[in-house]
Amino acid sequence: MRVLTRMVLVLVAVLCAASLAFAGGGGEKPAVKAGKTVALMWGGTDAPFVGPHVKSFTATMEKAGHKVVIFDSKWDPAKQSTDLDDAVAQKMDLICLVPIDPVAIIPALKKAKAAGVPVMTINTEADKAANEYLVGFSGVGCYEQGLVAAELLIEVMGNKGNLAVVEGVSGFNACVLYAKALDDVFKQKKSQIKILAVQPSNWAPAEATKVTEDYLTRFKNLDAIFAHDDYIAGGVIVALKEAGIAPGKIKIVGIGGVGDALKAIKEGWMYGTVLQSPITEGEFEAQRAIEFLKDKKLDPFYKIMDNPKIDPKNVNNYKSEF
Amino acid sequence: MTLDRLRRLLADQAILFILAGLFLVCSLFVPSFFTARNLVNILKQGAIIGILAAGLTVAVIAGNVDLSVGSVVAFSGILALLFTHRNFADAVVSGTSTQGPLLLAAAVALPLVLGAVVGLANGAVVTLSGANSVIITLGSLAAVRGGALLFSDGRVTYGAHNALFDAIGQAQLATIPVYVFFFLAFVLVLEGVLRFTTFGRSVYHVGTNLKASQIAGIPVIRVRVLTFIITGFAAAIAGVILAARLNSASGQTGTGWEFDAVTAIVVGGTSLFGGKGSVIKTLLGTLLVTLIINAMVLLNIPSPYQYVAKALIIVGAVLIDISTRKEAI
Amino acid sequence: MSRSLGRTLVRDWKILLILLGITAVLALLRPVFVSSENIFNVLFQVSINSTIAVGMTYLMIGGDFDLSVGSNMVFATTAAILLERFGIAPGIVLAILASTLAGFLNGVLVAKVKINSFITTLSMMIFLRGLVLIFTDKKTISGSTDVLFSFGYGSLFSLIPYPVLVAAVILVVFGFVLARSAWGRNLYAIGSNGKAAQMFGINIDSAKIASFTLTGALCGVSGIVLLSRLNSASGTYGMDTGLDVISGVLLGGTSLAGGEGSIFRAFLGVLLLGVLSNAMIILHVTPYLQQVVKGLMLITVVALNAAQAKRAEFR
Repeated sequence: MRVLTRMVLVLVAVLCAASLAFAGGGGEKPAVKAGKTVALMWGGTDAPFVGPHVKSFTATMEKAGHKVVIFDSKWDPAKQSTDLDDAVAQKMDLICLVPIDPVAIIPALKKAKAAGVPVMTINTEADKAANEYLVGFSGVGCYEQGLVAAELLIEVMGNKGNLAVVEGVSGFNACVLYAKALDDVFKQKKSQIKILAVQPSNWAPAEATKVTEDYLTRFKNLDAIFAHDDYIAGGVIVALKEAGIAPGKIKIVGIGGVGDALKAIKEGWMYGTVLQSPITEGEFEAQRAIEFLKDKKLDPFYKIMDNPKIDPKNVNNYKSEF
Repeated sequence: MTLDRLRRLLADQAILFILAGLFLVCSLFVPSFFTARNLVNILKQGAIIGILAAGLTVAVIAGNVDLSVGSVVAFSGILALLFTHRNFADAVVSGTSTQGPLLLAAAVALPLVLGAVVGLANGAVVTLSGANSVIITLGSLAAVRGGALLFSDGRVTYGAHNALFDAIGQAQLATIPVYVFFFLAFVLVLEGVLRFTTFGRSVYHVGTNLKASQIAGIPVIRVRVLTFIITGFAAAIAGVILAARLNSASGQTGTGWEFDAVTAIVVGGTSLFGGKGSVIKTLLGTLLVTLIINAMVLLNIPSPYQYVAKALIIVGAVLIDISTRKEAI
Repeated sequence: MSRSLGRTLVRDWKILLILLGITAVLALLRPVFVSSENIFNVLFQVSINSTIAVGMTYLMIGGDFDLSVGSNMVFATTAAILLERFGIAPGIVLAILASTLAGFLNGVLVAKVKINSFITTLSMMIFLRGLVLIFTDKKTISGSTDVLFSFGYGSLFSLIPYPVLVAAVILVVFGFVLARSAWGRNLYAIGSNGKAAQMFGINIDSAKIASFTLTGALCGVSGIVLLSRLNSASGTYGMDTGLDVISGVLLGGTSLAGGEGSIFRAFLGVLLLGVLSNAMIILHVTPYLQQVVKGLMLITVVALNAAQAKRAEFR
């Protein structure tokens, strides 16, 4: 009988929870206050880029009198889906979301729209099909960044030569867009640059070092390496240094504008990078969020930041900030 | 040598023969494998995680496992780099502040203390409560990594490019990094401790039969806790070397390293049940796994197949171990 | 007699008390915690883990465990999408079969070849993840149709989400099987004292293989539920599932040493983990601290349970 009791108890517990839900269902809404609550939903908060971004975003929002709640979906799209449900259930005034997977998040976005909770994607875009459920996108044009990186590569390689790519995570939307940008620009400029290999590094410098070591073993005539971000580029440089290769012999282009990268450009290890300051980005996206909270809409829907090119000629105009 | 003795030799030293055999095959058939650069690469790619695996082997022989080692690598790296700066605020932006010997000593000492403390905590909880070390150290994996992220506020910690500190990870002897030699020395020291000291023998006893060891008067709690401290210590060393080599560390560093270390240990032939094995076997296991992955990369085999290979290597190694010993692992 | 009954009650119901405690505190601080939307969110989040936890409980009672459940689940999701060309329903069936096969393989390696659970399921976890990466070409693949959304987002009487219903049914059915069948009794015996069980003539191998196979099948089912919500699959899904499920089952009071546990306890443990995560989100605890809290809680509960068991041994 104990088993039966236990089983019944499980069912009763579930039903109790459900009825509790209806008892507390209406819930008392707190008195309307000037400051709103905004959810900042990053795909994962352990990537080095995220910390400074969160700080900057939060500081900007708090100065305007709003509150920020941070979510971390551990780079799992299923978790981000349920996290979004959680944020919607808490009736956030605005949700700022960095989609881990451009497509998987769409059903949850649909639910959010149906529940009347506005969502703006930031940093990385979701699939175009998501746009009808969003109030806007503010962030980085990954494709546009890729275009600048491609220009830098063509510049330094003289539009020909052997290139190896150390990418972030295969299939990650930003990385897919970088690859496409390179492809498009090389075709357009009738480039003779040959991409010898593309290997992922999980955004980890240690892994990037290993990948580069192996590239150096495999390819005798490597002219350049494109790293999907400056942290990875740092790992690439370590491998080159350890192999005794002189700075500038193999050209490196990264993305980000990280302080170490600026130093590397000055020392000749890197040729260039594309500025993407998490601090500036945090402010930029927070401003758009504030704009939405005030006007209840975003105009224009799609707004991306500038992607300034940093190369040896202008590197001294930039400071190490992150 | 009789056939039987030959078979026994083969069984005991299976990993050595497999490593030698595979090395030969790869040297002959894999392009660029047998070059000075690549051979040094293999050593480099295996050394740091090898230090981790070596320390973990001691805990495994005693019958436990410590899955928090990857998180300790992250935290100790962050701590080390922080103390290379005179002004801690410089640590989150790449700075060039240089450091005098006093804080530099802290840059090496404090992470080691951290590793030892985490090991002590793990060891104490596992031995005093009797709980399974897999779960306890899974909990500490999460807690320590969360702690590292909290401590660094989620940002990357950069070093001050201090020559003395950097040397830990960047100094070379005949194009071979000094830390590779350290790895080999570390393995020999640990192996020596295990084979020639009372403590070492106790570790084997405790791993074989806890109750019997207790009855025999071995200070079981002290021995087990000490093995955890050694593991934490090794993880911290690995973290410091990695940080010195890359000049950066973050809460994300070392993710998944615990499973790579366990892989190396198992492939080397040390049993997860405890009581047998050796650090030298783990060294061989580390080299074998590193070698196979390296060969796959040189053969341009796509990275997902590396996962499949790792899984097959683990199972294969255990199967060989079982068939040559004819007892359950 | 009544004192030990009291102690048993407290120990068994320890988790229930923690749960009620958290619920009460949060209901006061943040009423949204007990809103219908939030509760059903938590129940849904828990439903996938609780389904897999059923299989994990069978395994742990018998003295084993399975680290590959996360990879196996995503494997099923991937297979279902890739096999859609044969029809949605056949694709689903084949996917679940594939996961079941993986579970069966685990069982054979553990029971017949005698490789321990840790290594076997660690290898399977890595292997399946590799397969998923290969089949998806390292990208995210999407289903060609979203008919399954009506299951994933639909609910019975507009109240109980279908996935929650499926999870509840699985819990109840397999709870009964565990408690009432020879299989279940054998598992308890094997977990408590393997040698004695053997002498009694219990077929240890079949019991273990059956448990692993069941777990595989349940991973397949969960993979389909995942598909009905995300309609996509990639090699990066489900990385934490194995650890989350094992943590949940252990939190509920089942021991890794084997010989005791129940579906009810496993469900409570999984529910507690889900409620805790949800509570921390609602309390706006920073994500880094959430990780620390979960880790410390796991250590505390497991250590306390183990210490209690140790003390009981010497009574």
